[in-house]
Amino acid sequence: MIQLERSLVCSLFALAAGCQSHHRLPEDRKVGLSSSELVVGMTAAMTGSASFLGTQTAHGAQAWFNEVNRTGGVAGRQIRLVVRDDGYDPPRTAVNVQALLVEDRAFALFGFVGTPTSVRATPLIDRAKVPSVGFFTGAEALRKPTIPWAFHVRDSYYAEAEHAVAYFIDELKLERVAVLYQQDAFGQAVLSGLQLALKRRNKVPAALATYERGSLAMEGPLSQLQPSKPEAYFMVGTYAPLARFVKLASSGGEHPWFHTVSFVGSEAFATELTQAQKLEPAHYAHVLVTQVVPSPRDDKLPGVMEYRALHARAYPSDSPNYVALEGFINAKVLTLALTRAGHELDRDKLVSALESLSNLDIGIGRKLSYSPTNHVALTGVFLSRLEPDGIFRTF
Amino acid sequence: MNLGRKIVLSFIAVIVVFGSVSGFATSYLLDARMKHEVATSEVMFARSLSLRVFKQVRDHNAIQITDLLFDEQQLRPEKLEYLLVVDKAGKVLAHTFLSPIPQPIRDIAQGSLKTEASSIRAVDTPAVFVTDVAVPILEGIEPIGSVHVGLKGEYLDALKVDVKRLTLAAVIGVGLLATGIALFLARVIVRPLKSLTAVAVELSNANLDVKIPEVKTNDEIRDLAEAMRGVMAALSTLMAEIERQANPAQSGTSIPAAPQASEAE
Repeated sequence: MIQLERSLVCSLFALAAGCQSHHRLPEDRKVGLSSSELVVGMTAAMTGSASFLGTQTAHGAQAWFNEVNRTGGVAGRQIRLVVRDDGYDPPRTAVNVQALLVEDRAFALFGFVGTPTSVRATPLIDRAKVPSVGFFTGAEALRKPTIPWAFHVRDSYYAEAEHAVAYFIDELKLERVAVLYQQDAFGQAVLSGLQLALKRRNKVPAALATYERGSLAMEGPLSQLQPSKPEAYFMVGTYAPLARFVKLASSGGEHPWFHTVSFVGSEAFATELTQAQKLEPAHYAHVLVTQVVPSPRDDKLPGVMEYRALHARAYPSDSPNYVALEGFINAKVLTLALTRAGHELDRDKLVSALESLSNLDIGIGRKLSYSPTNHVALTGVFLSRLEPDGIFRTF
Repeated sequence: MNLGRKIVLSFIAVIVVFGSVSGFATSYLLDARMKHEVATSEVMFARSLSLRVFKQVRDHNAIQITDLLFDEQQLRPEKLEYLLVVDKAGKVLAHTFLSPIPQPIRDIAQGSLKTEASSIRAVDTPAVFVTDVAVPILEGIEPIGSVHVGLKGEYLDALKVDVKRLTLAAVIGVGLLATGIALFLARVIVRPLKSLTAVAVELSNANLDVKIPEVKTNDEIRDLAEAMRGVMAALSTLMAEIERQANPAQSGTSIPAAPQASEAE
C-alpha cells in the first residue's frame, strides 16, 4: 500500500523533480546451501560454567545429524553443523551470530543455550530473517510475542513453574514456599512464572532471596529464607550453587522440599549433589526437577531408545542425559521441516515447512505441532526426582 | 469562449503555474536542507560513538565494540543500515552487517583515514544504497580508526517523498482555492454584464419599457448601466417627439412618455 502510494507520488513528480525509486536487491535467501550441503550454525556455551549444556546440546544434535547424513542427508544434502563457543556470555552470542551468518554462511541457526544469550540473539535473528530452531530456555520474553523466525521446541518456564507449584500446593498441600533466584533475566523469568502460579492459588512466596550469578556463597540467602520456615524451596540457578544450597538447607534436622527448572542440567546437578556436596541419600527424594522432555533412560518410548543408541554411537564416553535428548529432538524437528521443504529450498520455505508441522509423532510420547501463530512445538512438563542411585527420573 | 470562462481559466493557469514553480523550488530547497540536517545530526552521533569505542579500539576489543554497535543499531533500525568501526590500518574491527559487507562500503572504510574531518558520502549501487557518515576516532590529533554510520537510502527517500507529498497537496489546495476565487470573480463581473446585454437586446427590439437593473458596485459596469439609462432616456424623448409630430390631431395636448410606460406595466 505504501509502496503503491509512493510509486504513485513518484510518477506524479517524475517530470518535475526526477523522483527515482531505489530498492536494494532482495536478500539472498539461499545462503548456506549448495547442491550437496546445508550449513546449520550454532552458538552455545562450550566452555565455562554452562559448558555441559552447550556441549550436550551439540552432541545430541550431531548424533541425529550423523544418522541423517549416513542415510543420504536431507533432500540430497549433507547437514554440516558449525558450532561457535559463546561461554554463556551475551555479547559473544551476538558476535557469534554475526560470524555464523557472515563468515560461515549458515542457512539456519540452531541450539541456543540460555536466557540472556538467546535474548541477545533474537533481534539479530529477526533482522537477518534467518530461521532458528531450538532454544534451551523457557523464558516467556522469547515466546510472546511470537518472533517470526524463532521456533521453540520445549515448553515454557511458566509451564514448569505451574507444574511444580501444582505439585507442592495442590498435591502435597504445602503452605509456605520460598524462592531463591539468580539475579538476572533467567532468575526473573522463572520467578515471574512462580509468582503467577502461586497467585492463581491466592498465595505469595513466604520469602524471596537472590544471589549473583557464579556465586557459591549460599549461607546469606539461606539465612534470609529460613526464618519463614519454608516447607519447600523453589530455586532458580545453575547446578553448583543450587546443590550447595540444598546441602545447607537440608542440614540440622530440616527436611524441606526443593525444586528447580530444567535449565539446571539434571545430570550435572545430580553429580554435584551426590559427589561434591555429599547430600545424605535420605534427602534425595525431596529434590525435584521439572523436565520438558521425557527421561533419557526411558525404555518404552521408541524415540528415546533411538536417541540413546545414536548418542552412544556418536559419543561413546557420554552418558544419556536430558540436555542431549533435547538437542536430539530439536535437531529432528529441524530435519523433518527441511525434508518437508524439499530440495528447492530457501529460508522462507523452511519457515513455512516448520509452521506446517502438525501432530508429529517422533516417538517421545507427545506430539509436536507448530502453526503460523504458535512457535512452541511441545507442551507438557515431566516431574523428576533424585533416585537412590543418584539419577533424576520422571515419576 | 465566453468572458467568464476566460477569466476562470486564465486565473487558474496563473495560480497553478506560479504555485507549482514556487512549490517545487521550496521542495527542492527543503529536501537539500533536510538531507544536510539529517547528515549533520548523524555526524554528532558518530562523534559520540567514536568517544565511546575509543578504549576498545585502542585495545582491539572487537567483541565489546560489536556488542555496542548492535545495541545502537537496534535503537533506530528504520534509519540505520549499518554501523562500522575501522582501525588504523583500514581493517574493519566491528560492524553490524548480518551478511558479507558490500564492496562499496569496504572501499569507503579502507580510505577513510585519509581525512581527519568528518565526511558524508552517498553510495548508490545496485547492492547498497546509503549515505555514509564517517568521523575519525582521534587520539590527540592522530586518527586511530574511524566510525561509520550508514543511513538508509530508503529512509532519506521516504523523507523526500514526504516533502513532495506536502508540496503536491499545497499545489492542489491552492489550485482549488484559485478556481473558487475565479468562479466568484466571474460571477461578479459577468452577471451584471449579462443583464445589461439583455436590456440592450430589448432596446434593439424597440422595447423602451425595459428597466435597467440597479448596479451597486462603483465601477465601469455601473458607468455602462448609467450610460444605457441615458441612452434610454434620450430614446424615449426622441420617440415621444416623433409620435407627437406624426399624430398631432389625436393627441391634442402633449402627453408625457413616462405615464404611458407606467400604464404598460
